[in-house]
Amino acid sequence: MIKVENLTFAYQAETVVKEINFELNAGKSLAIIGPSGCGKTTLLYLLAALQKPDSGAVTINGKNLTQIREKTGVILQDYGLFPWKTVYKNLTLGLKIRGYEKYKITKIVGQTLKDLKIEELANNYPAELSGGQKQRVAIGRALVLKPDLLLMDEPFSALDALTREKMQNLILKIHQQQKLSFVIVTHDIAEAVFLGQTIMVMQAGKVIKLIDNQYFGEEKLREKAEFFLLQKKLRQLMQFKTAGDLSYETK
Amino acid sequence: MKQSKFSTFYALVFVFFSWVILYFWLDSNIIASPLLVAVTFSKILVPELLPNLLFSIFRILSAVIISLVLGVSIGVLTGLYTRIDKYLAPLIYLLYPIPKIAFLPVFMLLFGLGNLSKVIILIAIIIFQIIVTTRDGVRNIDSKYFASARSLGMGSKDIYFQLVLPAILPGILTALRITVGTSIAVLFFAENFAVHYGIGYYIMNSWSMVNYPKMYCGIIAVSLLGYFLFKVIDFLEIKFCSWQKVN
Repeated sequence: MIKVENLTFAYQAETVVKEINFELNAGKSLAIIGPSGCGKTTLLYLLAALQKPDSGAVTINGKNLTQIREKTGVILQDYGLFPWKTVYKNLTLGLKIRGYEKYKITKIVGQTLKDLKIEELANNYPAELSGGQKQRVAIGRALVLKPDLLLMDEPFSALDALTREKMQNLILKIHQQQKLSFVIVTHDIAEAVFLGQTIMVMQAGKVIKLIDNQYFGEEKLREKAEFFLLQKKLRQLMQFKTAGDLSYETK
Repeated sequence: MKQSKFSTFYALVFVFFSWVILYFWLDSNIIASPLLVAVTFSKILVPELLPNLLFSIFRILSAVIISLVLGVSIGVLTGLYTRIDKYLAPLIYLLYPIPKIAFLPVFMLLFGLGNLSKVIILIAIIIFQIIVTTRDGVRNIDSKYFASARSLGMGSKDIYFQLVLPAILPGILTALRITVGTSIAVLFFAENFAVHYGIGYYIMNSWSMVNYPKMYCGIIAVSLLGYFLFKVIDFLEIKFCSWQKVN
């Protein structure tokens, strides 16, 4: 699905993503975690083709990524919903741009609103919604495009703990039902463990560890001891402060 | 709606009573009797005022539409592209504060004595306000919306029409409100030169013929013209910017 080779990107003089390599198979999930400013959002933008790399390449389904893909859904921090459009119109945007016929748009958007249980919000403006509702709309806006890859940049960071868990469950359900690959950038350790089949730990623009999460997808994972043990391991990894302490290891 | 109707009624009562007080207090020909003006107004509305009003509306609307098209385009370009702004901003800052009305004789020499010179002077006054408001509006759009638009696969055309224009529309309507007031005042002045139709001409002509009731009828017509234009802008705001109310 995704193959990233020697990916490097700099904002002016500062290199924020340094020679990153990894692969993600179709239908799998990747959680990228690291402290603020470690380059994780930039990496996601490179995967979305919202930024162009200085060197290296991103290949998706065997094709070199040079422009925004039709089948990539993106959910940005702060949702990115247009405040001047109703929920319904926000959901139709991506389809209109892709030239879908009106009856198809009505059908797809109607079904998505129903699936995400936000039908009654269709005529509301984003400012009238709660954080969780806005998040559902943002997920809906990405899902109407029937993506094979979903990229999310700290999508639940503004939500309260309970709503956040509900949204994480929703993403997991969508992933399992639709065999959707997804990449989620987060600074929340529990979220990375719950949603990452592979967990990538980043620091100072580099990947310091890739962890295979064998507990991913388990029902009631949050109630199991392994969930907390993996979080402890991640926490310890993220506490390395100097480059000398870093180790690169792929499992 | 009830509240709005009451406000309008209150404004009418306030203006009417102020006028009545002035009429009895000053006891001068120059403050015409409100009753006489009301009777005259109803008599001359269709045969005299309406044709003059239509000429004025035509001049204002032409100027507003041309200013909107040009002003918004220039404003969007300067707002989005700093390189264009670098060259245009000093020009705008130099020209904006100039009292354009002072150039009316020059415009009349260049563009003739008819409608064209009047419309152009109105454009010269309105357009700067629209350019500056649009440019600042574009600059204030949160970059997250541009990232969001691009992530949906929007090209330049979609970004202009789905993101930039809706985001700056409330600011443009506010700028229009300000400029409508200015343009009516300027038009009143400009219509005193080499025209035989227009509400400005009508008022000054009635004044010079010492026909004060008709002069006041013209003034009321100007007030109603302004009221009508403000209401049109209010309507556009309700229609296209209702999302702002919920924010």
